[in-house]
Amino acid sequence: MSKAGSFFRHKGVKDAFRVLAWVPVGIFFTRHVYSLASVTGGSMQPTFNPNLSSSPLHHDVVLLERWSVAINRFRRGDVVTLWSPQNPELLTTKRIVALEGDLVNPLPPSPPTPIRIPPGHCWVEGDSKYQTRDSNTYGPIPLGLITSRVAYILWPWPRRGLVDTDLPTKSKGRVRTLGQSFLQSKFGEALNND
Amino acid sequence: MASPYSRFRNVFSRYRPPPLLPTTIRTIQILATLHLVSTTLVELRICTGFSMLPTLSQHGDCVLVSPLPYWSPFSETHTRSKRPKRGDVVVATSPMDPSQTVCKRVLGVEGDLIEIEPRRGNQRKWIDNAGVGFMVDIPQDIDLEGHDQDRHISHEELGLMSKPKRNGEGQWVKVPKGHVWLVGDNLSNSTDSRKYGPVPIAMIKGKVLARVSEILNLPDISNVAELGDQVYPNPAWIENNLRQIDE
Repeated sequence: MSKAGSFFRHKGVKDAFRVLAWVPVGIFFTRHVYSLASVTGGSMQPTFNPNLSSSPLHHDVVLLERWSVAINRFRRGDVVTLWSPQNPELLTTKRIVALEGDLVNPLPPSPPTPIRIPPGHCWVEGDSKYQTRDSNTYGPIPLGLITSRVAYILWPWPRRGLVDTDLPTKSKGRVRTLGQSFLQSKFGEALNND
Repeated sequence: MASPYSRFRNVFSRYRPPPLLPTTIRTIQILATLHLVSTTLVELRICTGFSMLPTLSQHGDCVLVSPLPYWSPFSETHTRSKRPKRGDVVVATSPMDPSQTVCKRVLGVEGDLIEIEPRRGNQRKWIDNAGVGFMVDIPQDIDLEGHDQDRHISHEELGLMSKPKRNGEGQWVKVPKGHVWLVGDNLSNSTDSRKYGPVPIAMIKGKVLARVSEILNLPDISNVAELGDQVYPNPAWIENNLRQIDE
């Protein structure tokens, strides 16, 4: 028998290989199915880290649902993680406000003309009342930057639960979706004005 | 009395299919390993389309793609050197459709000033009505008869009038922070940054290192003599065809 053959016949080596073979499976799971992350910063303030000013070192632990991005399922109101378009090393958390074809009235940092979202892009905004660095700063972003959907808050035990997919009040009423007809949008505006 | 098939029947009846669970587990492990290698080390990809025509064939070239040239373990210190450089051929997620990828050349990095449409001269059009595509110069449909009586038109003015301007010609764009300007080598038939604007660096999935083989090599026998030196060596490294032009 060759030396290599006898080496692979050791029980310890066999066990090591048996364990190592699971490593790629685990990596695949955390990259494409589910993984954990902690949220820092206050751009999504009512949703994550609501009392950042009183406890600045606190991080929310959240569950990232990656398979919905792998099958290209994006919905308005989803909280997603995405690579910052301005800094390719920074992962940020924002909420999808509009998808392709929608008409958005942007907030102050960008000029106040309605923007039509181009194909394959979306409009993301932070939940915070204060200015966040979002699509109002850098415009519509390509969907390819989105890495995962934030599905569940795990750690601060009292606040655990599904992340709500309702748009915050500042984002409501500024988006006209592609499916809405002219009359419908008029009607909706009238209702909002009451 | 042994029938001629009894031996086979014996073998068949003794055959046990491999136990299902270990086979499945082993298959999953192998597939996951292959996926890990292809996403982190190197990957063979098929790249079709007209947009990179002088470099890559339109019938589909097998290219070697690797994310390693842009992978930096210490992102703070090596950021500048590990970002895509001018002239690199890269594979990126398509900004128009997140489920597709595009293969383009990096023309500008952040801070560069770039003219959107660098082509000059006649408008050309890709005609493909009989299944055989070819480029045609669009005839200049500006009638000069009205100006013929008027002799005072200068030569420059005439040149300007007879040349229809392309969309984006003479418009300059500054590539924003964290973005690159991606353009296909075949400028006349390419959907690239001229259409969808600068692309964030995070969209770039890897650098094209080499062309391995042309998967569908269909040389036109009748035209081989004419093609001559247009038949490219196969396989080949993809080079950074960057030349500095001093002003």
